[in-house]
Amino acid sequence: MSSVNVGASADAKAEALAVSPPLLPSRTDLAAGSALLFLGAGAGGLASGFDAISRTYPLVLGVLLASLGGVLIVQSLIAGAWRTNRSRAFTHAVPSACAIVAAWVACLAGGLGFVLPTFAMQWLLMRLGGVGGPVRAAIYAALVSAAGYTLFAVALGVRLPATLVPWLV
Amino acid sequence: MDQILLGLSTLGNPVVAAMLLLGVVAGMVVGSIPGINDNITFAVFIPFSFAMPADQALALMVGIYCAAAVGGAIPAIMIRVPGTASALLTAVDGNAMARSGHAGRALSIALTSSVVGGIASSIVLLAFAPTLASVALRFGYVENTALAILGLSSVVGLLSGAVLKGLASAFIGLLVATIGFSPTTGFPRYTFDSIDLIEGVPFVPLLVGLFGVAAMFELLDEMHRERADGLRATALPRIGSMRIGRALMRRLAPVWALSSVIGNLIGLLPGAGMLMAIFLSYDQAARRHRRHFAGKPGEAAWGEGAPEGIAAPESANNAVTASSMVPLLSLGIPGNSTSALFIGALAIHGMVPGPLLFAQHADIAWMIIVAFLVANLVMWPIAYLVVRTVSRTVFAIPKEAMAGVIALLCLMGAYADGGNLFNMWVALCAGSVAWAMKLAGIPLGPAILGLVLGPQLESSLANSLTISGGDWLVFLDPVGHPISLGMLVVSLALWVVPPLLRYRESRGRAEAPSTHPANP
Repeated sequence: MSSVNVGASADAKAEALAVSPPLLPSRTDLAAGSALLFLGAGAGGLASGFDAISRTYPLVLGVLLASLGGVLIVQSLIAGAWRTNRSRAFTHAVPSACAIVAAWVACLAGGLGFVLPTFAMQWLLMRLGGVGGPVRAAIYAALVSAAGYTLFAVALGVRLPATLVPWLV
Repeated sequence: MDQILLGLSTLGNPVVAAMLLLGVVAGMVVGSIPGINDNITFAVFIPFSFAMPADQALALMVGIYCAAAVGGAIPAIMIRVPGTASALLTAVDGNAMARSGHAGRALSIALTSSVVGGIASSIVLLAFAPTLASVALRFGYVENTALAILGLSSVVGLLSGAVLKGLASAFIGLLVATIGFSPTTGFPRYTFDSIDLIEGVPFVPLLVGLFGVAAMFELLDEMHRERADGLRATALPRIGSMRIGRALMRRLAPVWALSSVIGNLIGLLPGAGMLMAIFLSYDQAARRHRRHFAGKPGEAAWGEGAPEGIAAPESANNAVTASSMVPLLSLGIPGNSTSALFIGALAIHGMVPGPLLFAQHADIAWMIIVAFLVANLVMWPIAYLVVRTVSRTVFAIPKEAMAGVIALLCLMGAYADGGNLFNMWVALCAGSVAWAMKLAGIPLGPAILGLVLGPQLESSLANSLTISGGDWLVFLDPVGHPISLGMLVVSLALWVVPPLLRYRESRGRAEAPSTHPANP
C-alpha cells in the first residue's frame, strides 16, 4: 500500500467550522474597524467630488461603511480589545507569495517574456510551499511552466504579454 | 415540457454532451485533490470557457460544479482529508469505515447519497426556477430594488454573531460595484483616470482573485502551519467491493430523504451556503442513529463508521448544488459562493442571470437545468471509474506543488479575459483583500452579493425614485407594489428575528441558574 502525507485532520477542520464566530472583540477587530472607517471615509470623500446625481449612492455607502467601522472601533474599545489578541500566529507565507506573484506580473509587464519569469515564480512558490530540495522544486517548476505555456499559448491561443526578448518566449 | 425538450435538444449536441461529461470527470478528479475546494476548481476552469461557444462552456461548468462536491468525498474517505469543505463531515465516519476494511462500501454510500441528493435538487431546480423567473419577469424597478435588498438581507441575516462585519462586507461589495461609469449620468466614479476601470472592475478576474488567489494564499499558510506542527503519514486503505445491499439502502432511504429536503431548502436561500445544510443534516442523522442503531451488536458507533454519518452530509451537499441555482437563474441572486462564480461563467458569454435569461436565452437556460439532472445521472458510473483508476494517482500529487499550479492557472486565466495585464493585478489585489478580510473575520459572501446586486440596486433605486417623483414610500405601497412591500417585510424580518431569538436565548440562559434547585 502506498502512503500519503496527511496534513490538517478533518477533526480539526470540523471543530474549527463548528465553533460559532467569537463575539468578543479583539485587536484584529480594532484594526478592521479602523480600516473600514478609513475606507468608508475615503470613498465618501471622493464621492463628494462627483456630479450631484452620481454622488448620492456611493456617498451614502461610504458614510455607512465609515459608520460601521466607527461602531466596530467603539465596540472594541469598550470591550478592552487592545488587551486581547485573538489572531493566529503570523506566518510569512502569504506576504511572500503575494510579493512573488507581484514580481512575476511586473516581469511580464516589463517585457521579460513568459518562460523565465514563470519558471522563477513557480520555483519560488514551490520552495515556499515546502517542496523539498531545490532540484526537485526546479523540476516541478519546469513541468508546471511548460504545462502552463502549452495550455494557454498553444491550446487556448492566448496571446502572451509582449516580450523584449522574443528568443526567450 | 417543450422547454425541457428545448434544453434536451441543446444538450443533445454531441459536443455539448461531451463537454458535460468532461466537466463531470474534471470536476471529480480536481475536486478529489486534497486542498482544492469546489470554488478553486470552478475559478480555475472559468477562463478556459472563453474560446468555447456558450452552450459548451456552460455544460462544462455544470459538470464541474456538480462533480467537484462529489469528488471531495473520495480523499475524505480514503485519507481523512476532505477534498472540498463540503466533505468535511464525510471524513469522520467515512474514513473510520474505510479503515475498518470497508473503503469500497464507504465510497459507494457517499457516491449514492450524492447522486440521490443531486437528482432531488435537479428536480427542485426544474420545478422552481422557471416558475419563479416567470413571476420575476413581471417585476418593475420598484420590485427589483426590493429584490436586491432582499438578496442582501438574506445573507446578512444568516450571519449569526457577525452581523456588523457581514453588513460591512456587503457595503464593501456595493461600493466596489460603483466603480466605473455611473448608470444614470455616465460620470466616471473611482476610476483614478484609468481606462481599465471605466467599465468597472473586470468581473472575472475579480472573482478568480477572490476565490482562486485567496485559496492559494490559504493553502500556503495552512502548509506552513502543518510543517510547524509536523506531518503524519497514513496508508491508503484497500478499496475492495463497492456493493451496498438492499437492506442498507432501505436503512439509508429516510436519511437521504431528510438530508435532501434540508439541502434543498438551504440551497434555495441565497447566501446560506453548503456547510449549514451539511451540519443540519448530519445532526438529524446522528439523532436517528442514536434512536435506532446505537449500542446494538455489530453496529459502528457514531463517528466510527456509521453509514448515516456518510449518507447525510453527502446527500445534503449535493442537494444544495442545483437548488442554489434556483435564486441565481430565476432572480439573479447567487445561492452560494460557487454559484456566484457561475455568474462569471455566464458573464463571459454576455448573459446575465435572472428572469431575462429565460426570455432571451431560453435554450441555454433550459440546457443548464437539464444538464444538472443529466450530470447527476451519469455521476455514479463516472465516479466509479475515477475511484478505480485515477484516485491513487491524484493522491500522489504533492500538495506542496499545488500553490504554484493554482497561481498560474488563476492569474493566466484572469489575463486571458481580454489579454490585459491589468486583470492580473485585479486578481492579485482581490485575493489579498479576501485574505485580509478572512484574517479580520469579515465574511466574503455578503461582499460577493454586494458586487453582484450593486448595479441592479443602484439603477433600480434611481429609476424607481425618478418615476415616483422622489417618493420613498413607493416601495411600501400595498396597492401599487404589494410584492415590493412583501419582500421588504421579509427583509426586515431577516434583520430583526435572529437578534431577537439570540436575545431570548441569552435571557433564557441567564434566568436558568436561578430556577435550578441546586443554584437558588
